[in-house]
Amino acid sequence: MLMEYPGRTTPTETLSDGDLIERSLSDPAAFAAIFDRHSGEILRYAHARLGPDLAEDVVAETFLAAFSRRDRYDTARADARPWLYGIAVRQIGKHRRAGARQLRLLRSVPAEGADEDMSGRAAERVSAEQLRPRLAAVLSGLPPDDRELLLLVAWTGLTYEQAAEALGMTVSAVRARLHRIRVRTRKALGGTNPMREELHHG
Amino acid sequence: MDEITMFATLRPADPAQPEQIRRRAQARLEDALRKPPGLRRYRRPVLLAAAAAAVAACAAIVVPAILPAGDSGSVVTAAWAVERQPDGTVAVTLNDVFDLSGLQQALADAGIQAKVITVTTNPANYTGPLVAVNPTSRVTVSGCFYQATGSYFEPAPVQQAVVTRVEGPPGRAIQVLYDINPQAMPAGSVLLIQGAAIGGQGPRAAADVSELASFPAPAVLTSSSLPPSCAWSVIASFPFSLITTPKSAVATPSAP
Repeated sequence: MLMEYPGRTTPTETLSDGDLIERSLSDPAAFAAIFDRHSGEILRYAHARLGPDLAEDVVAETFLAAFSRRDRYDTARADARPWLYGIAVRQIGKHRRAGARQLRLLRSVPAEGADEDMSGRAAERVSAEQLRPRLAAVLSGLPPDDRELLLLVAWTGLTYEQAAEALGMTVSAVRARLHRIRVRTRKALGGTNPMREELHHG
Repeated sequence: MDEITMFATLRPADPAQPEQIRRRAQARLEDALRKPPGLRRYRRPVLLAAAAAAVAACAAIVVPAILPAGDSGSVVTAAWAVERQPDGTVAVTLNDVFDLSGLQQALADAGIQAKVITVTTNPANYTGPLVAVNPTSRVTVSGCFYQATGSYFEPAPVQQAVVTRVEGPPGRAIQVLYDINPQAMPAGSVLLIQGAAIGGQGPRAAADVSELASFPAPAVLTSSSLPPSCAWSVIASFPFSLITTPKSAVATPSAP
């Protein structure tokens, strides 16, 4: 008999984000699980975008904003990350000066631990370090909206579909913009992709 | 490597102590949620408590073990406590929302006109999530539903004046604490305190309790008569959440 209670028999861990947010409408405490699940990821992104000083602010502001507008969340969406990233991006956008400062830093500061995917490939790492100033220059030169999209895709685990949802764009618009960025980057790197060559030759 | 992926190499290192930053952000968030305008006196608006006992348990007459208490008008039992404070307010502690028998009389002795009820959810009728889907809060008295006048963030002023503290100590899912100011209660008003129970058979484990639902703060009602009349008017209520849904809930008065 009691098994008929989804709210009672389903441990919080197995509920989708949508279920939790729906529950939080009448039981605000349930929203704490959303924070527990995703604040680490939002924090890492905010930290990457704005540096350590403002990351904490952005996380607190993002989840406060998310809480206050949770009644507008489409609870059919199981994964709240695109929604949270969308809110975080707007919060990050409020700190324009810090964002610009962080962009300038990217030209020189080596990205320790940021290239986990390639940690075993010394040659690629060297390549990356050589490319850094040029990539940073491309990034700085992008229109703000394109830069937002690029960083969201490149620095988080979001798919194109999720990035589109986060930024309120269509998926085809995301693809079109990313194509434009690819062309621009290729051009800036001298018409070739040295890292692609490394991969082929290595 | 794709040009887009190349930009991942620019990503700065993760924060050195993410957990500390996360906890600080969480504390700020909780602080902000705790202190919206009009809610400053509520220290912790989120309560966790509910019941998983069979309805039969509520019908059992339990003689509370009266423990020594300081001032007159103070009663401490294993399930609940009513304690007069020096400032004239009354601290109410609920340790066991399954068993609120005797609480109503103890509150009356402390100068608080109260109605203590137990809301039972019938699993046979239950179809949706346990907590109310509709964010609009209701107070349920004997099957009558009353819309809440205060919102989660902005309880009505009289509600704040009467219920000056609502707290669910962290880690103690069942226990809830209220501070009640009898002087602030309008003439003829009654404080509604709602216990909870789940109909049907089932274990009464603490884990169930924390999963079940939240326990609402007392509502301030005015009436010249007590339920089962539906003629009460709610002048202020501040339920954080209720386990009731219109289809599934019935309210039964507990033993006074």
